Amino acid sequence: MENIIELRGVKKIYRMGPERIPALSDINLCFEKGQIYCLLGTSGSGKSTLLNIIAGLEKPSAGEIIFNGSHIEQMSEKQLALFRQKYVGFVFQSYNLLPTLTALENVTLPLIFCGAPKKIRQRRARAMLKAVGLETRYNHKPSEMSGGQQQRVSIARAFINNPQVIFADEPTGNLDTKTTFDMMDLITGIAHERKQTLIIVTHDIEIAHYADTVIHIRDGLVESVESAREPGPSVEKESDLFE
Amino acid sequence: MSNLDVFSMCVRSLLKRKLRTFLTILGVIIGTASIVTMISLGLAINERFAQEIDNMGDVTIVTVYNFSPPSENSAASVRAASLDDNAVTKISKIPGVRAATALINLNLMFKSGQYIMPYCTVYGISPGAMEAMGYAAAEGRLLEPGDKENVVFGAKAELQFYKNNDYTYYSERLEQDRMGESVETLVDVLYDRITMSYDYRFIYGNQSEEENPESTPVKAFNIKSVGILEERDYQTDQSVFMDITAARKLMEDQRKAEQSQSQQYGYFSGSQNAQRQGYDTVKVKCVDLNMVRSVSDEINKMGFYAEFPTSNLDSLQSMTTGMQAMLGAIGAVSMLVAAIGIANTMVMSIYERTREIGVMKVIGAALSDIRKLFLLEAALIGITGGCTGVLLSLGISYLLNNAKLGIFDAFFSGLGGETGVISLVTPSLCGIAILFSAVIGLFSGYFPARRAMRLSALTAIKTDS
Repeated sequence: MENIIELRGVKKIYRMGPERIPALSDINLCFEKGQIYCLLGTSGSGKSTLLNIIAGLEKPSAGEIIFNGSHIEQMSEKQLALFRQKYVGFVFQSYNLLPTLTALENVTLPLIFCGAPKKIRQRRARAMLKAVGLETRYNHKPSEMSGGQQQRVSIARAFINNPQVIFADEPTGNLDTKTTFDMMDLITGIAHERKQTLIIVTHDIEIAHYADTVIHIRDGLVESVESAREPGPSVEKESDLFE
Repeated sequence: MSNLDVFSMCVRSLLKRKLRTFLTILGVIIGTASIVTMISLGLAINERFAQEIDNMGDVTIVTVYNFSPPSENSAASVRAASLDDNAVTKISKIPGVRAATALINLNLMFKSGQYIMPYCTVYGISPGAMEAMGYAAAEGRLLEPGDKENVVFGAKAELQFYKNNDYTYYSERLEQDRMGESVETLVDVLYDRITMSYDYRFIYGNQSEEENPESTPVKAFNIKSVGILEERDYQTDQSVFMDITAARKLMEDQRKAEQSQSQQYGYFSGSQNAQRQGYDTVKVKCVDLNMVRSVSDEINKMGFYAEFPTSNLDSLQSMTTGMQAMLGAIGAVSMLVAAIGIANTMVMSIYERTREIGVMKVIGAALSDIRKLFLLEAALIGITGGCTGVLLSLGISYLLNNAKLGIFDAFFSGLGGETGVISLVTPSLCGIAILFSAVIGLFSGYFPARRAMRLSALTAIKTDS
């Protein structure tokens, strides 16, 4: 399998006044295309920092992050914006939907930033919302939806641009157990179906079961990489969204 | 991100915070309205000045008199130089002078058939200078060099002919003309035979003829009118123009005749036309209004007294300029406050939407998109406020002009002379005001927008809100 992301000697040190707090020390990792990864670790282990660095939201103190051959750590703010627009989708713990926009508009937002024509935008967003099971909620605002529904919207938003990698930072942290499993089924299902790489950050061992590879992070170091090689629960084949 | 999308997102976020948006816009409305109203007051004053200047006739003409300019060290310049042909030539060479001509005037009597015009001012003017002085013929032509017996009538001069015993009809006609009605012309000056004389017996006959058989015969001249002037100022309209050389000769004749008469009757006539060195007045046409003052200063230096119609307007003008500046400043202050209001609103909005901005950045908004969003939002506040403010000021202007607010009326009409508009909102003022408020909006939005653009996506997302 070809590598989509490669990390070489990534370090991150935070300065707090005179004190230097190492968050990550010497991380070397490879992420293969179409695989589902889980960065598992306790709070403060550095897993979120690692995710942010891979996604280009934070600069590493040292090391290289190579995404499809280009160095993320060397990109300017402008290039990073374009990179995120084209190749990356995000799912957050706190959904991060824009409260003023409806579900449909929230999902279209990445396409708006791409400058896609309105007609195509609408069609793709509707199909995407349907795929996450929200066909009855197109015109609801986030405040009118449950946490699970909001997270579905945010998943739809992450996938709308057909990115190569989806980052999910504690995607189920705010959800109850039942919804958590629904959500994980949904997100891994779509990623599998489209052969997209999914990187999930969590502290929940149960979530880790959905991953092909679980990377244990502890005190800023990769403790172990274990391959589950156990594909996540299969979902029914869905009609191609991008027709 | 397409511009339409930027626009709709901005409108949406403005509408979301309706009250705050409204209050900010209200600030701009008041700012724009006050600045426009203040400037409109100033413009109205200018307008009334312009009207005043219009009423003065040709404001680019300087009149030079044959006496010394009033000055502090009057002892030095008591003796006026002689205002003769040399002086006229010299004056015409001053920079900014288009033409200079001496002007002499005499009062003559005219007769045409049964109609008389017993009193009319006749100006002697250099025929070549007429066109340069701004005279234009409505009918026929102007005087040309060599026009010895030819004259040109002012626009209304022919109306002064009347039938010897019918003075009432004469005044009726003048009244009609004053009211703008068309008036019957009794004499067609271009075609009818006209004679002219300085001798009063020409009109009134000689009561003492039998007693004085050896008195001189009445001298009358046949003249021909070659043209009628276009309407100008009152004085010109009522007058007749002829060649200055011919006019001088006539004047000389008149003086001699009066002298011989006074010898005959034993009294001395201190006639108005007593012989003098040079001319009484010289008219100088300047290239434009801006040159008038310097030309007249130059003439004053030569030892003559130069006067121009706008001289006493200058001090008034400088006073009102000061007042306009003050009015503008009051408006500018309120606009400044409005600008601070916009900036404040935008900064607040960025604090509130930090997380939103972060999300947008994370899901692929370009830096320029973020900047555009905030700049446009600020500009929209400015433009909306500007347009509404202009409408408001149009209303205020209408009220000022139509509801006669006693105090304002008295105050402002005092500055401009005749009662006219108090407030003048021109289309270009409206346009500039709207443009200005948009620029103010953009300017106040610039720094907040830059701040939003530079927010780190990560910290923005982590911000609780």
